[in-house]
Amino acid sequence: MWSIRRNHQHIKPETLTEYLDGRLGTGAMARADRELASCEACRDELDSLRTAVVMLRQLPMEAPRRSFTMVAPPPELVRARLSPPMRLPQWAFAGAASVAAIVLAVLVSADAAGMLAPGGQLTSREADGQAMAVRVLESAVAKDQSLVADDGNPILELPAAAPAATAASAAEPSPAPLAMQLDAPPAAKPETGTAFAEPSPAPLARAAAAPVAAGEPVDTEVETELVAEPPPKAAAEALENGGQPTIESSAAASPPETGPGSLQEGMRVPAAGPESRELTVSEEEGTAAFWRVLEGLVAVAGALFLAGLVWKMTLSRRADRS
Amino acid sequence: MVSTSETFRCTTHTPLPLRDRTGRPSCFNCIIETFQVQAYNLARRMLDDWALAEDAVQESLVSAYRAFHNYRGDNLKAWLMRIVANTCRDMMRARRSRPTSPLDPLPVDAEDADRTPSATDLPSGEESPEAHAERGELNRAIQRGLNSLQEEQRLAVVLVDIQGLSYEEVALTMNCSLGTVKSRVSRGRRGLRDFLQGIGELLPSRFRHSE
Repeated sequence: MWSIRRNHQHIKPETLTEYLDGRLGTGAMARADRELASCEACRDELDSLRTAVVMLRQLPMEAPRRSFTMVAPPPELVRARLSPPMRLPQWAFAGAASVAAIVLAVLVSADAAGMLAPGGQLTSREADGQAMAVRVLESAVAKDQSLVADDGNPILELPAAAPAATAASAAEPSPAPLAMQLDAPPAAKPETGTAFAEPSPAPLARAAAAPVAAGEPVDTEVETELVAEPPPKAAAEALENGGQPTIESSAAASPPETGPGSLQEGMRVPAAGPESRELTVSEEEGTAAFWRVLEGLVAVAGALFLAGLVWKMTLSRRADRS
Repeated sequence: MVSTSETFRCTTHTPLPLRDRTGRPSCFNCIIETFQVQAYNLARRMLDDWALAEDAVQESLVSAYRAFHNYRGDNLKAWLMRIVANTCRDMMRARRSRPTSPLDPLPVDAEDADRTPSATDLPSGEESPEAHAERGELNRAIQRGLNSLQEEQRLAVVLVDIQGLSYEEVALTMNCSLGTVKSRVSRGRRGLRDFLQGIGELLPSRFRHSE
């Protein structure tokens, strides 16, 4: 606390305060007295503090103008009249609104990325699109290889299939229309050839649409095999039925030269599609609608909590004013 | 429940029976009559505004009534002064955030002119009018000195030197340790001493001599 040494240390202010209030023990009091007797600075400090204390203590206790006694118990708090949800603290509303906002953001971004669509649950939209492009390309190559063996002119078919594949992956966001696109190139092939080439689009469309419609996570290789298998058969079938590969390949490169037979086929292709297409479209629409409804509900919940927060803050401000 | 005036023998007010946490019955109006002067003076010294001080006491007493079931029956004075001090803190905070200027500003010296004079304001038979005026001047100087202190130091000094509470009671009131009380009282006194020495020439002659 303090000490009397050659290196003199003045009495601590707290000790002087206690000395003034008579709170020091006898030993400490005696030491303080000795120190005060030997140090003028400490004495001055004590005197000035004592003057301040005396001045404070002479202040009169003023009587209030009125008595504060109560005639009746004070009324209950206004807060008690709040409805139960409004009794929740403000942070509860703010927290719930924040959670709703985060959930909504996640849902919307996932929806925008195509992850909520039935076929896109495991892959993103881009990856899915690339996989589809690869599948279409490979199927086209597989077809061409069978054709190359026969007519030795593969250059015509490959560029024709590649734009179709990229167009399919770029233009259509969901897998089901891709499935429809998939069966378009093979459909274009026999349509100029003969009317007997009809069997080829249907199995191809089904083979391509089946895994997609089921939404199963099928590896690209496996699916490629699945897709790649039918065309040679179809091509072989077409050959057996008297179709001419050379005409097919040139006709595929120039669709405007289609005849009446091809028109008929063109009419039939969509007619063959709907069986697989209806399923995928209805399932997809149902799932998409479910996510949309969920997004809407979360948005409404977030807005409600936000409105509750604003209302709660307004109430507390009113209470402060009153 | 004890609720009759016979039980409390209240003659000057309506009995307002209450029970604290221990279940002991009390008349809240008796408590008010016992401590209202102390509460009012604490609020007045803290806020330096008698009208605001009355509001603070009224509000504190209502809060105390509502919270009386939480009172553990240890030190009623410290418990009540704590509520008054908290109310004063809130009011000072509100005043800082929403400073108001009176429509008809009055000089500080005339602030008390329109209030009803209390018995302590009137000059006693032994005091000359000059001495009374001198005392008023000194009181205002001390109040300005108190206003110059930090909030917690002001509260400690007012509780110890004006209200006469012990350090232990102040520690209960301010909800802090005994060492903190000593430190705050010490700093507060020194701050007030420095302020008064700064305006020494303005103080009445008998106080100048003593410094």
